[in-house]
This record gives sequence, C-alpha cells and structure tokens, in this order.
Amino acid sequence: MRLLAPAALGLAFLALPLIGLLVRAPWATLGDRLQDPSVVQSLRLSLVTASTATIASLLVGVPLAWVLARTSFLGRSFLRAFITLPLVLPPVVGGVALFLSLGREGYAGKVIDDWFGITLPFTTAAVVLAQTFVAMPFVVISVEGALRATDSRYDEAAATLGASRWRTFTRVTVPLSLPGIAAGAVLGWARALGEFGATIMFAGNFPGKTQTMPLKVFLALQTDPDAAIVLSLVLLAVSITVLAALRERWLTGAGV
Amino acid sequence: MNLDAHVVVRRPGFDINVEIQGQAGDTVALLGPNGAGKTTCLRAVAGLQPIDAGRVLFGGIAVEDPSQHIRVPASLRDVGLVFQDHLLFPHLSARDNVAFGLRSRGTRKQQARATATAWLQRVGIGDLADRKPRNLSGGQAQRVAIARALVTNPSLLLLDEPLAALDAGAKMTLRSELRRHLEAFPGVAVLVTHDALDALMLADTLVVLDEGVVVQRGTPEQVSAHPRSDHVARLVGLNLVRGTANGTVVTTGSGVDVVSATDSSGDVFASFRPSAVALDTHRPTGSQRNAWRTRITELAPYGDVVRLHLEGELDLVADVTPQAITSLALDIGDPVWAVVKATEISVYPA
Amino acid sequence: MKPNRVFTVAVVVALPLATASCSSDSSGSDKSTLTVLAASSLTEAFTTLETQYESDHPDIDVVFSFDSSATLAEQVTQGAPADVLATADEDTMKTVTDAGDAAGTPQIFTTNTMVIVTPPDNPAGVTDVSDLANSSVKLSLCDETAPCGSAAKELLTLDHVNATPVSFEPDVKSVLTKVTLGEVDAGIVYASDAHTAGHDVSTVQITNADQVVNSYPIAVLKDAPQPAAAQDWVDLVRSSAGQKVLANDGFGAP
Repeated sequence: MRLLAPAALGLAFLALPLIGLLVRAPWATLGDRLQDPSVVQSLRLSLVTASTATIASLLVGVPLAWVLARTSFLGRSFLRAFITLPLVLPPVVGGVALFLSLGREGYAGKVIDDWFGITLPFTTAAVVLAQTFVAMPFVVISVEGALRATDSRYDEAAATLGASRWRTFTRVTVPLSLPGIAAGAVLGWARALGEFGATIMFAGNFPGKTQTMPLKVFLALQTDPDAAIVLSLVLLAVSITVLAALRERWLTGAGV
Repeated sequence: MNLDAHVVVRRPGFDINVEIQGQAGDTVALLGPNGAGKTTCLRAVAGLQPIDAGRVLFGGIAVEDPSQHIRVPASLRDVGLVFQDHLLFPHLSARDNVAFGLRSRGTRKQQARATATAWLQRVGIGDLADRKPRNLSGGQAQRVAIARALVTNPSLLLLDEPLAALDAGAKMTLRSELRRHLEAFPGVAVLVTHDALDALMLADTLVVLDEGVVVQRGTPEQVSAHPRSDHVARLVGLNLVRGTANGTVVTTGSGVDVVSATDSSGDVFASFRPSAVALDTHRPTGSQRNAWRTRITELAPYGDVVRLHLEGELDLVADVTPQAITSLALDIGDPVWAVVKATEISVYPA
Repeated sequence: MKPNRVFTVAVVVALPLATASCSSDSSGSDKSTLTVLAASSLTEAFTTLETQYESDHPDIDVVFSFDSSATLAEQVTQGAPADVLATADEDTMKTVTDAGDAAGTPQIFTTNTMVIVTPPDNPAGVTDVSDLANSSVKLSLCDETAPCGSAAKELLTLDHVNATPVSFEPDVKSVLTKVTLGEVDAGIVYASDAHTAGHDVSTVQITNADQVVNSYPIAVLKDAPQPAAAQDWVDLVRSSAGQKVLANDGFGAP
C-alpha cells in the first residue's frame, strides 16, 4: 500500500501535461489541420530519421556494448563515461559540437568536403547524425545491461562447440539478449524522435528536408499555439501506437 | 589421440599443479573435495582457463604452452564439453542445440539437423527433438547435452559433474547410459565428479585432487581399497587413520594406538570399514582388539543398519544393527567404547 | 554500477551551475529585480544600458531574457512574470497589446534595417542581393514567425529575388552564428547585428533596405512587479543617452 501512493503520484505527474494537451486541443478544426500536407511531411521525416538513427545506433552501439560488457581493459570505465557524455550534454551544446567537428568548417567535415564534396549540415543526413548522437548512449547502456545479465557461460559452451567469436555473438549472445536490446532500441528511438536542440543547431530547419515534428511544434508555438497542440497530439498518438505495439513479452524477456 | 596435460594455475589461495594423462579409450575421473581445483583443470584442458605454466598436449601436439607462447583458443580445440547444468542454448530446440557444433564447423543446415536427429534418437529422446530446453526434464536435457558434445566426434570429451544436478532416479539411469557412451567413445574422456559411484562405475583411472595437487592416482579398485585422503575415504565409506607404524602398532599424531595384524614401519594409513566397528559400554578385554573411548555425536538409520558418528580418541563412523542400539540403550551424547578387531584393519604406506 | 556513478558525477557538476544561475538573481536580499524581455537583436545595446541603469538605481538588479520576439510575446501572453517587453516589430507587440497584457501604449524607440552578412572572406563572393538566388550560395534566414524573417521575406520580394535558404532559424542570433561559424555563405540579419559582429562578418548592403524598416516598440507590462522601475528603464532607452547607445550599435532613429 505504501508503494501505491508515490506510484500514483508519479503517474499523475506524467499524465497531467498530456491531459492538458487533450483538453486544450482545437477539436473542431482538428480535421482540417490534419489534412495540411506539411504535417504529414514533417511526421514522415521524423519517423524516417528516428528509425534510421535507431538502426545506426544499434549497428554501432551493440558491438560497443559488447566491448563494455564482455571484455576488460584499462580505461573501460572511462570509455563508458565517455559514451554516456551525450546524456549529460545539453542537446544544443551537442549541436554546436557536431558543427565544430562535422560542419563545413569543422576539422573532420572539412576533410569530408575536400575529398568527397559532401557537406553535412542542413541535410537530412545531419538530422540522422544529430539524433544518433543523442540516442546512442541510451542504446549502449541498455544493451550493456542486457549483455551483462546474459550468462557468459553460454558463450563458453558455444566456444567449446567450435563457434568463432563472431558466430557466438550473432547466434548465441544477441538472441539471448534480444529483449534488452529491443528495450534499448525503443528508448533510443523515442529519444531520437523527440530530439530538438542538436537538430535545430546542426541540421537547421527546412520543411521536408530537416524540419522534424519537434521543430515544427516549436515554430508553430510562436504564432499559432493551436497548430502546435495538434502537432503535439499527432506525435503523441504515433509514439503511443508504436510503444503499445511492441509486445511486453519482447521487452521484458518473459518466456525466453 | 592421447592427452598429456600438466596444468599449473596460480590462485590467491593455493596454486593448482596437476598432471593428467590418458590414452585413447580411457576414462579418467578427477575426484576431490569442493574447491580442490578439479573444474579449473578441466576448463584449462578445454581452453577456457589459461594456464600459468606447464603445457597441454593433444596427441603429442601442444595446444597450450606458456613458455612457447602457444595457446590454441577453445573454439579450435577438438574437445566436447558436458556441463553440470547442461547449458543448452535456451533459444534453440534440442535438435538445433545438438546441430550447433556441426553448423559452427561448416556443415550444411540439412545435414547437420539430420545428424543431430540421429544422435537424439541414439540417446533415446528422438521424439523430443523440437522441444526447447525449458520443456525438458533434467535427465532429458543432460542427454541432449551429451549428444551435443559427442556429435562432432571430438578427440577429447570433458564432463564436469554431469550427473550432479539430477535426481536419484535420473542419475542412476543416466549413469548406465553414460557408461555405454564412454565405453564406445574412442577418444580420451575426463570426468570431474564428487560421486564415488560415478568414479567406480565409469572410470578407468582415478586422479584424486586436494588443494590443487594430486594426492592419489590409481584404478578405482586401488584407490577405494587404499584411500590416501579423508575425502576419498569418506566417499568410499571407510574409516581412515594416519600414523607411524612400528610393527603391528600404528601410532597417530595425537598418540592413539591402532593395532593391526600386519607388520609395517614408517608413515602409514590404516583403514577399516564402518561395519567392522563394534560398540560396548564397558572397556573390553583382550589384546587382539582395539578399543577407543568415544562419544556418540550423530545417530541415523542407514539402510538396514544404524550409522553412528563417534568422536573421541579417534573420530569414526560405525555401522551397527538396530538391535545393538536398543540392547545397549544408546543415544546421542552417550560415551561408548569403539572396538575393532586387529584383523579388520588394513595398513598401507602413506 | 558504473552508469550510476556517471549520473552522480553529472548531478554534482550540474548543481553548482544551477545554483550559480539562481544566486545571480538574488544577490543580496535588499536588491529588487527588474525583468526585461527583449528581442535578441537588442542584446548588446541593452547590456550596455544595464550598466548605466544600475549605477543610477543601485537598489535594482536588471535581469534580461533575450530571445526571438515571438517567443517572448508568447511567454507574456501565457503569463510569464516580467516588467518590460521590447520587440523587433510592431506585429509581435500587437499580440501582446491585443491580449491586454501591456500597460498603456507601446512606444517606438528605435528602428532597424536588414543587411546581408557573410563570413569575413566572403567565400561565395556575394556582392548583391541578387546573388542570393544562386543555388550554390548557402543562405540562412530567420523563420517567418520571427520579425527578422518576415522582414527578410518582404525585402527579397521587393527586390524580386527568389532565394531558397538551407535553413530557417528561430531567431536572428542563430542566423548570425551560422554565418560566423562559416557554415553558411550568407545570412540576412539586422544592421545592428552586423555592426556588433564587427570583424567576424563582412556586410553587403541590400537594395531598397530602407523600404523595409522594423520599428521596435517597447512597453511596460500590465502585471509588472516593478512598474516604476520599469518606466525608468523605458525612459532611459528613449533618452538621448539611450539613443546614442543604440545608434552606436547600428540601430536607426525611431
């Protein structure tokens, strides 16, 4: 009983702002507003970039998490702290950092520009990069936890059966940690979807190319709060649908 | 292909320094109390634990030799390992578990699964091939584990307490089956166990470990008849005493005399069966008998006898008939004389 | 275990920073605070005037919030506590007066015109507003929702220039930052911004810039906690001393 009261309080705290959105929504004009093609455009952009960023975070983050969980070397805790840096960095600072490194005048971006003629800022790719930057720590930390919870003796069993490290990783370690990896991916996706500061700094704001939903909401709020509310509701609805569709079984690992 | 391993692993408590040899077709059992280093030795031979010194030779070729910087990783050693708690991959069916080793070595999927199914039939659970490990009983799972280890025809089979996690019934059944497999197995098998029956039934050679070193080596009959450690003595159900012999009298370190019927001298072991211990409430007469003053600390039925633990001049285990208990009105805490005929005592060099 | 330690360190580092920003607000309980919301283009000028104001009013600490006019106006109409609001155009101020949040009539205290700025070496070689139509020129503009955005759009239309920027920034300072970082080839900002940026940018005049003038209104807010002090600030800004500071920063006469 003593746990229920704080839990209920927490739930209320989270629910109140969301209820506020529903209450203030311009239900009368909702239909017309949703027909606006720019809404669909920025929604599609948000979903595509967030999903791409999540995949990128997994491709790089899962091996990184494996290194943290399964190997030991001097400086490992420093590496882990370093990876979680984007978590404590204000997103705008992250955006500036991305500029200074990957921008047209950035130390790495300059090289890319000279060699390939590609500049990264203000492109959709820049949106994905900014989102990956903020989402990857979530993925790495979640996956590391999942890997640590998986019995490493299975890895040993696989080794005695002749499996190479790569085969063990793909056929044993990853399948057994899948619920944790899935949970990390969901966390990363949600973070990427909501990313604002780094995106507006590094990728800028251009409808169809870099104007994700959060950016659109922010700008709409300046002149047309009702539009902002509608956009927020759309984002909310999409997020809830995706999260609810992920079956609890996959995320909690019950049944493995 | 024979095994020649000298395993040296440095540990904070004590170092492990063990030599294990086996010819093709042999089964070597590693016996010893918990923490003696048996599992570490097994893991070292498998390649899961690096050795600090010594070397491991498979068929005369070094798979590990720190002095030469040679270390073949576990995945490249031709070994099969059966773990105590089977460690079957939870996300794969029994068939896919068994096929895993074949697939890892490049066998095509169809072929591997067919071979796996055949092996599962061989261990008697062909109809459970599609089940996941969580839907198998302990005995069934361990059978799958054995099949999984044997399917790749390894040169060396390592078993780490394979029957320990099973209930008594499954243990007995599986022990007989394992005996068949081991007899048919052409390579060297090394078995870690703390069960005397495992050792006696399955092994050709026993290697007894204690605190990281070998304290006794021999056939099961030799070792159980003349144990050189408390652990084995208890395991095979004998009373064991160590002392210095002078003629027929063996004197223990605490000054207690044990009289036997054999002449010997020097550092010796003296052993006798629990059933050779008779009890009396009065000091018996006659020089052909040993009589030690003890107190009963434990008393429990044991088959059709009663087993007592006695502590005093010597610490003993005695098996007596229930009638003896009642006629002497014995109970825990009672002082009692433990009497053993000299002829019942076996003496052999330490 | 380790992630927990990272968070602990992060909190330990963040706490002094958080409390530091708090303490600057309440340095000395005998001082009262004057909250001024101003368009970001007024950053340098108002900061200069702060020194003079605080020496005239030793018991008052002036606190600024510089942001895009639209954001500030929104905050005021949503009930943010402040004393003074100064916006970069009249339309934005109108949203505040329409909502009844201004005390009295806003006064125009300065004006601003638009110019093109480029990185100091002018990598794209922009010499005229018509160059902005060139697709190879990376251009940054304010978003329409901000006064600088609507003004820039008006000016470009007037000059018949069809320019597509790579990014619409939420406020004029962001446009300036992109230019000074060298990430864009050109941006349209206020003359005052170009002035204060000094050697960090090169400036190119826009044809007909004098046709598109942003008039900056300033108003004391209805629910101002310090109405007298607020009025003093307005008076300072409109005084010759204030006007001199504004002119020095590239602003135009009201």
